[in-house]
Amino acid sequence: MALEIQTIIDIILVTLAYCVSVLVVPNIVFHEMLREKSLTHRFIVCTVLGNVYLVNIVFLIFLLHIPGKLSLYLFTIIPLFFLWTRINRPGIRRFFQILFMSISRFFLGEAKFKTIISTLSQRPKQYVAALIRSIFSHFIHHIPEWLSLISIFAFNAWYYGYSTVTRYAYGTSDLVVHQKWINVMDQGTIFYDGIYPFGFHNVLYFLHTFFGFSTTTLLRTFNVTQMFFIYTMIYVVLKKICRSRFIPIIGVYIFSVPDLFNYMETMRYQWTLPQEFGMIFLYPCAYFLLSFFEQKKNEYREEQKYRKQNRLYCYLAQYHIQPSTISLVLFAFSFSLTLAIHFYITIIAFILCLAIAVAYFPIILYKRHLIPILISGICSLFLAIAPMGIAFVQGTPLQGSLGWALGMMSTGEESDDTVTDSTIDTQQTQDTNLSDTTDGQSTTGTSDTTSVQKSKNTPQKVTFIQKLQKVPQKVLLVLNKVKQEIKHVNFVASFLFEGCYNGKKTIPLIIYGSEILTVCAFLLLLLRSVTHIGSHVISHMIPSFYYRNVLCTGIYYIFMMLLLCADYLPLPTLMDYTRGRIFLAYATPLFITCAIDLIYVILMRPLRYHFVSEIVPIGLSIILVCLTITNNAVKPLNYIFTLQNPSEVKCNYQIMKEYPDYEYTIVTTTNSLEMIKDHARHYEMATFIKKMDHFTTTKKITIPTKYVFFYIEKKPLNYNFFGPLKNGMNNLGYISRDAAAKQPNYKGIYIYFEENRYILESRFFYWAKAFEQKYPQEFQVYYEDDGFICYRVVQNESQLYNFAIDYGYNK
Amino acid sequence: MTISKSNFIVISVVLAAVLFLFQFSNISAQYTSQATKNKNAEPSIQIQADSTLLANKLENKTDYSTAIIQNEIFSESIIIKEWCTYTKRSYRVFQDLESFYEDLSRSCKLLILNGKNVTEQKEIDTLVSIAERGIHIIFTALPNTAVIESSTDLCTLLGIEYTKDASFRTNGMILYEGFLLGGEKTYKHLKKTIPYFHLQTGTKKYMVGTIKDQKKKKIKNEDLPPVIWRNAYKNSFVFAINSDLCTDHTLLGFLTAMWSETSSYYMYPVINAQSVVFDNFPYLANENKRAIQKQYYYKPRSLFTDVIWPDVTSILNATKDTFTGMIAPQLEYKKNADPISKDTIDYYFKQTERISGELGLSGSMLAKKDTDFEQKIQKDTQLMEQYVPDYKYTIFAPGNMPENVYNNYIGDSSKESVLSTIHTLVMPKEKTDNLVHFYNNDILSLSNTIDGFSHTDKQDLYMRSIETALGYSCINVDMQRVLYPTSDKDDWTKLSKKLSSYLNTYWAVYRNAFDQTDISHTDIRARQFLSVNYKVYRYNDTINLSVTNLHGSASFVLNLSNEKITAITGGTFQKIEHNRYRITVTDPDVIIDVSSDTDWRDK
Repeated sequence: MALEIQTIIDIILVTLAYCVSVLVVPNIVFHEMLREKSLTHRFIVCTVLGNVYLVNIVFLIFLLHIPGKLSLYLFTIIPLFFLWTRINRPGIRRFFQILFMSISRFFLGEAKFKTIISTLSQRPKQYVAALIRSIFSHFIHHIPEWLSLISIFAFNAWYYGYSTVTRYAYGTSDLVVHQKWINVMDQGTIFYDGIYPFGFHNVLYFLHTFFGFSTTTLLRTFNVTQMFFIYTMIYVVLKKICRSRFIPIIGVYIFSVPDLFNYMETMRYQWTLPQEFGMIFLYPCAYFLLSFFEQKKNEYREEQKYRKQNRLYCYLAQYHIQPSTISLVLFAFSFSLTLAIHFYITIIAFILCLAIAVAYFPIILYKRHLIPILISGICSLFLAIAPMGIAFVQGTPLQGSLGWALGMMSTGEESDDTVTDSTIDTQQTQDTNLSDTTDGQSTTGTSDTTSVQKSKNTPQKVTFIQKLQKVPQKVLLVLNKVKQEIKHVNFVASFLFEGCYNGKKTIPLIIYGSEILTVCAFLLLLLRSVTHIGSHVISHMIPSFYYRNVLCTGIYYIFMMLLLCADYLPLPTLMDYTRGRIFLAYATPLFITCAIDLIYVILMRPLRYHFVSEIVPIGLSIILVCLTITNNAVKPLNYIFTLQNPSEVKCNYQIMKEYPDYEYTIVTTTNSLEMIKDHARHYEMATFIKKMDHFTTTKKITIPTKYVFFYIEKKPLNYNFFGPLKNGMNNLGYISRDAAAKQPNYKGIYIYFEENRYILESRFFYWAKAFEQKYPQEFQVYYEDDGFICYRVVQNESQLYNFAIDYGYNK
Repeated sequence: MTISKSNFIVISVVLAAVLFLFQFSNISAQYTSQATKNKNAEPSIQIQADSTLLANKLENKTDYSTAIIQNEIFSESIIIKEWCTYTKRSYRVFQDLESFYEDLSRSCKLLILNGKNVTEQKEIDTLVSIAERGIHIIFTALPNTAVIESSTDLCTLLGIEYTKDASFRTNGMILYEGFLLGGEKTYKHLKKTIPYFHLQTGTKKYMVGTIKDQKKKKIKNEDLPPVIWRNAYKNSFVFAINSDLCTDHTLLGFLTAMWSETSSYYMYPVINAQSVVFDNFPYLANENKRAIQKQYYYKPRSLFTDVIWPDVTSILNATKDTFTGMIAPQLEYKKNADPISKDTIDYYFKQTERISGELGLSGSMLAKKDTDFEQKIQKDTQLMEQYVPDYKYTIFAPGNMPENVYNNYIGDSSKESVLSTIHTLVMPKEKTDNLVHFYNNDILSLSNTIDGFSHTDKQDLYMRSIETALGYSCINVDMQRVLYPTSDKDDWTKLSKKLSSYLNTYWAVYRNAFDQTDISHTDIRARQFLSVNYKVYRYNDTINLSVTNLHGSASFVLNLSNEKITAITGGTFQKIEHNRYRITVTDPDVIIDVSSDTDWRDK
């Protein structure tokens, strides 16, 4: 089977396995709790619960030092079964009653076997029928949404799966490290390189161990699965905030299809990385926090009502756990997941919560709100940090990148390899421009302060009237200062946003748009709270806290903007520019969609938001799609790093499939090491070539496996080259005799870079040719294409070949 | 209680029916029995020597593919010529290297010589020039160590780095997988004194000597003394045999294996027949009674009918081998011997028919004079005419009968002897130069390959070699040992165990690879093998085999290099072992599709 088709099947299987683990199983277990809830609510709850379960189950078996397939199966299935029976007790009890009765009736001869089977299967049948009916009816009633979402996700699956399906190889070098950590978990060690947020690794380890996917397959394909969840979360949270049914889809569309964002902002979704996986749980934090406020409000009203009627016991009796508490627990779970997966997500989640807190001021300060939120926050921190803390107590040191991340927060300079030269150049230009402007600003600032200081130095007696007369002046001064600051922020942002958004005209629109949205939402909120105009009329038409929710999206975006500009403002740098803009991009559809929805709410108010009014957003979407297509503004394929030859991956898969484990060795660069580790022996190509240098007849290289494969790049890769995906892997041209004649460098981490790789591959090629002459039948071509060749040797394990030969360039 | 008439009739009818059904099969078998007629008397395919491709037709003075340098050991040249005959290679024999180099054919691909003849630098230079021309060289024995050590060119040609020990006694030998059929084999008792060379890189070893306490001495497998190896020298391969292993037909298999190592595929014809021949069995008389009764408490005739025959049939049943028995009516032919009963003869003929075996005649007897053998033939003729007049004997195992005696009778219908209808001779291997050859234009001579009661390391190597070269084996089980025991080792209980265990172990591989046949069918296949000629060429993944002079069918072995057959037209194929297939050709043009062998999990 072609690897392309295999990859597509793998993507489907991995997605199915993950969906079963985090959606289907939680939905069955928490069936009673989730009944009658909306599909989006079920989705987000199941995703959070499912992932919390997976992450912590894996932590548990590792911290108890009982890792393995069996313990994973037992620890996963038994608690789930127990939970299922506890939560769905009435239904299960009823089923067993029927079962018992049926068996009794069968033995008493009152009923036939067929009747009993039909009685027992009646309930599952009903359940399945109801499920199918509900899916069908849901689809029928939400055709525009379903069709639009399916189309957008299909586009995204193609867009983010393209590299995986056509290039096979990893797109970024980080994946090799993550794969190593997951592979090491297979051998019973967690936190191999020290303590690190392992949530992402735990989930992949779970899928690898429970379902039997190879780690290579998971790391190659899981990005498509996680993309599906990341994008769905935008829809789910917008669905919660927006009044319109259809407008949230515009948000997902804006983030998916148009070429609005810089490629660096969406590039990482092509790869299976912890930060991107953690983004799944960013918006659930907001979703559950907003739900908490909404539910708490309803509960409070209800409580007050019952209290007035002196029937508080009635109120208390109807809940086992209050819905607001459940929301808060889920908020805590989401927040803990961000921390368990990637610290950067926690920073953004914190900013998001801060934005909500600002938007919900002063409600947030109420005792009934603040204390539960603080407790849940502490609990979530504890839940996330506990496994790491236990590991730390058990003697595991901290992982190096934690220090790096903390350093980043203080300095804001990234040494990450994902920053390309071009990006650095852009940033440097921006830095220069900004330093000029900031210098100018600070000069002005200094002159202002000097004048103020001067005025302070000359004390004067001021009367009350004079003071009163000066108030407007002071207000004006403050306003002027605020204006200056806003101008400065906008100025900085407009520069920095050039690396975030495509099209210069877009940037001011976005900046001012977010600010206008914030101001408008604030004014509308103020207007509504002060005047209560029509509140009683429309309260049931728009969601509660609607304006506050819209406001918090605006504030969140502004906070993200400030985060990005922190280097140039008197603010602490929490995140470097390259990472920050990924989250800024992720925040963009939120505020744009909310802005559209706000307009919709204002304009459609006379129509009382009748379902016919949905024609407007649908029309708007169609216009947007048409504009995107006619302006040729569909985002082009992204960029990737040239790290591994696709043919090499192809060979790896084929060899692993065809040959018995550990009975073969692959002589190649280090690229394939982690991929094949669980199946094959690896011999590093540079060592192989080095051992033959200064050839004498006493040189000996033997490889003690029956089969030996040699991966040779006829066109050596330009390793770590960053270029457009459509151009494929960049190479240095055909190997040459001139290059083979040069002496390679065997030391350092750059041995497989540029010229040195070219020399090594050239030597390797000419060695193969010389060896082929000596063993024409035994040394066969296993796979060959234009740029790559794989040789295979079958040898007798009792009489190994000496691979050290004089190939003309090693004397 | 009384039985009604109708019930009585029904019961009687049922009983009668049951009786009839049981007896019917026996009676019908007796009536339809063809035990006293030889079904193989008229072979389906009749091929005579003049219609086959024998050595004389393959020897070519101008256009030859194989050059043989005549050496002092004459038998070696005969075996090489025999190999050329079997593999249908045109050849030419030269007296020395110089004459070969002067008359070099463009078609020449292979030079076979004994290295002992190479003594001078001039000869070495000639060999180097030959190798540079891309002609592969096989040294059936290496030049003297002193000559090798003195010549760098010869060392380079042979792939020898240096000599560790000029005379080294090996502790045994290891034959590696992929050279001869049957897989890897360690010979603990095959100890030889050989020069101990250290080979250069680029050589491939097929057989090495073992060293005592190898682990203690920390000697790696790769450093063991090489016995058979290949060296890649420019465009040709040089094969070397560093031992005196090639004094008999073992060389046949070595040559086939070596030639197949020179290219990515090699196809050659084989006989495809595995036979077991019981010489002097069935035995019909009652001679050496005292000794036999003392040892077994049986009379000889009873021992053979009641003990040995059931043992033999059960052993053959377990291995699915086909029985071929060489009747020995008597071995002493004394005047006062007990008469041979018809019952005994009938018993053996019927039993043989039941197990689908066949019977021939043995020529062995305890006599040394030619006249005694003459009398034996006459007596046997009389006996057979008396009891089984319709049975035409087609197989004859002369045993210790002198050739000048049976030569007058076999195939001569005018003498009206029991040997007049013979067309296959089963010869002891020491009495024949060629394994398979025409005794005369009609009669084919097949050689035994191994004794069924013994299996030494040397015999094993010989057997593997013959199986590789010809897909043929003829196990000779001489029952005279049982009748005239000389030591405890000749006791049937011990011999039967040996026979059973050897047949079950050493031939197991070849039974899967080749067909088990009786001697008559082996004869047919050998004639087909000798008559057939072929050409093979390959285009990409398709191998085309063109067969001429095909009579019915023919068998070939195809050696591939990590490839497998995916489809075949004009024949059938069967996998023998990794990389090796047996092809049964039924059409003159055969197309074989091959592809890379990708599934290595079971290998």
